[in-house]
Amino acid sequence: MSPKEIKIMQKILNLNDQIATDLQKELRKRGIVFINLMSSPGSGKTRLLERTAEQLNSRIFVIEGDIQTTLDSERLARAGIGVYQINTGPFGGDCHLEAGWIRTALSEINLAGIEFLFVENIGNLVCPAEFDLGAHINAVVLSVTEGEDKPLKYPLAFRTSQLCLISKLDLLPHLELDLELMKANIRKINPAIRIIELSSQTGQGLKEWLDFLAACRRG
Amino acid sequence: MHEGAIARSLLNIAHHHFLKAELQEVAKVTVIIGRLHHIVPEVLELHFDLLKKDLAGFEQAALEIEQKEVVIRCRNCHQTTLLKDVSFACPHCASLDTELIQGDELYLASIEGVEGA
Repeated sequence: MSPKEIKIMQKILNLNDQIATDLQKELRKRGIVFINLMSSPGSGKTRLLERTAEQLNSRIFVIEGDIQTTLDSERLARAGIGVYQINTGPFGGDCHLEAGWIRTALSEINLAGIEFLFVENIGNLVCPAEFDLGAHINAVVLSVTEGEDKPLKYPLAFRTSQLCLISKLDLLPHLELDLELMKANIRKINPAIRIIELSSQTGQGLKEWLDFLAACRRG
Repeated sequence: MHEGAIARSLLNIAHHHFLKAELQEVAKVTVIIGRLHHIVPEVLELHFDLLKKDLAGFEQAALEIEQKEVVIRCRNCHQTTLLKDVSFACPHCASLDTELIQGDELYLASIEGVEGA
């Protein structure tokens, strides 16, 4: 009966990270670009996907993450988008998706002809950023109504993303938002991040977003 | 509330090493967590304490959390800075070309226990 210390020094999320790495490789091999959309609730992720599908039609597939309800996946299905719903609830459900959820979803989805796989992560600017899903692009959506300070308050989501989509640009005339300050705050957290400003309502910036997606595919 | 998922993962890894080392029981589990992660120590501890009750050998285990401050190094002026707020701009020369050298850790460092007879 002697005390013993065992050194481990292992990443706590190593199992999730391993699954994520495998998913990323697998999808790259199949020529599919995998984009993980993260944001607070109500930033316009679903609307952006509807607008994206108007151009990319049957080439996109969406894995929809929500704690409960199938409202978003019903919306996307009505727009003719292939969609798979993950509900982590109904009560006390996880507030984020993990790579294992995506692996299970992919085992049940036919991705023939699909060029872009989107995950619409659970609306939450905190927890989803902790879990690598294996996406080629982590994109954080930030609507102009959320205020300039959010990147500073929720840094990890901006730090782990390669792209920030500033959404609902059409609302700017009605707000006191300092857009330049919002962008400066985003770059304080992640100087290398690409920022695209857009409005799903008016279509402003959508071409830049679609060009970005096309470049990822060539990439 | 992702602390539940973190607690589950760390206990899974700790349990694997507990079996491998043929320990009788675990007294302490030490984790290293960088401040860049949105993890509340008290909430992680709460989940750890709930889960350990059902894990043979871990019932008495204490969770020790070692927190790491966020530290950046500037590629422009080469100064190293411990960040007090979340701006990753270099406070010395205002350059945004900085690299994170500490604060992103999320590790199970060690377990401490009693060897079997």
